[in-house]
Amino acid sequence: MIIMNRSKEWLLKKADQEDGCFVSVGGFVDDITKIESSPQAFESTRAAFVRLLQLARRAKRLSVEEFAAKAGVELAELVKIESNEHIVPTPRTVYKIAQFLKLPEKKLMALSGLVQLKDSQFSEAAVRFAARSEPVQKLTAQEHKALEEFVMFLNDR
Amino acid sequence: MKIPVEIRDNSTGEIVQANLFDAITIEHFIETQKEWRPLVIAATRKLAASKLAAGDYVPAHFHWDWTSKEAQLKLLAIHFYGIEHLGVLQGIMKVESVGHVCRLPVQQGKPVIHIDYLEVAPWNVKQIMEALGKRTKYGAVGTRLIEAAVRHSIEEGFKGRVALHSLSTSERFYREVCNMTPVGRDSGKQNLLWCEFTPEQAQNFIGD
Amino acid sequence: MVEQTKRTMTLNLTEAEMNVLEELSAQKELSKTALLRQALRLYQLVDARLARGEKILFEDEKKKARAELVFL
Repeated sequence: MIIMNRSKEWLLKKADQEDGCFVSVGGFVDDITKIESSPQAFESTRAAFVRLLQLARRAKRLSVEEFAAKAGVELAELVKIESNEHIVPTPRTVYKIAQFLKLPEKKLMALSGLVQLKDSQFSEAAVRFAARSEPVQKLTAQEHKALEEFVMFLNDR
Repeated sequence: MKIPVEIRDNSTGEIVQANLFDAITIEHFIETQKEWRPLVIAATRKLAASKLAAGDYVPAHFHWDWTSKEAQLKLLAIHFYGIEHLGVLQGIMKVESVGHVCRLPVQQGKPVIHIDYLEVAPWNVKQIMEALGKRTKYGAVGTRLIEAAVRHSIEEGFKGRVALHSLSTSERFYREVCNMTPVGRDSGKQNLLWCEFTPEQAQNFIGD
Repeated sequence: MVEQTKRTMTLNLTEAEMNVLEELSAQKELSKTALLRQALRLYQLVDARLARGEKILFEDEKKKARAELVFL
């Protein structure tokens, strides 16, 4: 069983040493311009937009090319969207994707960050969905469930 | 399950009781997005506006890929730790016991606990709070998480060996404050500096 | 890690398996138990990724060669 150091002197010394240091592992700085160009509120939901797109495409067993052709969107843009959560899709693309996936356009617009939806439940559902999914080949049973639930949520409200 | 762990209340300089726990859930990931991210973004914008050098001051944990993390909660090789005080998450860490080995010649190939992710709540980070014109709340949270990683390594039989890829803004902390050995830059990982604890360095750090 | 209830099992290994276990334990400076627990973690991790449709590749940087590890 782990027992942490209980010494007061040790702790205060360590706190002083850590003060002013940047203690972090794992993320990395993106270009400042990228941070400034993407509105704060939309970052979390855009990750969910990308995940939804990826899972929905995989659920239909379509490649990126096939999806682009069937949905009537530009392949190059679709590739960029799926590989980079910071890309803001064009309204036309989001509209076409919503049509193809039979999802409410306004919700998808909000998810992609094109419009702002002041609904904390919506943001939270989006964050939750993104945390539950993986952007790889086969949908697991869990991902199917997550996708179904999220699609129901989008259609419901 | 919770273990008591002391941190410093920076407003009083006094020690307060927090908890180290490992029952991290998706709710905690959501908390980092809802409560932490807006502060990080606000501070980043202020720092950018004041034209400080990005590499030096911009919070470098901005884009941790928190998505797709729920599935990892079930893997034995992956362990998350959190520190909470009064029900509020103060820091979070992910360690892996599989997938990396030591690179330092004296312990090359030996198993190592790799800190894959570590983040301290923005209200505990001086650069962020100063940018927002405020004081930090708690101290030693980062240190406590690294201590947890070392003790996890000992529990696993890895003798305290811990490694991580350091962000450039954090190199000074790991090298000079923790006294980890810098081994080299990893070209496969954005040229981040691989830092490692030997068992002796780990014991020195945790003060046992 | 935080305290967890542990259960015990008896493990029967062949001579060859035990030799490998002892050799790896010595090499990695791990007890036999710790090594087997690591093996279990690795197995679960690999299994989870394979279940998602991913592949495992071994890469030889010097020979610029990649080979897929096939699981039956």
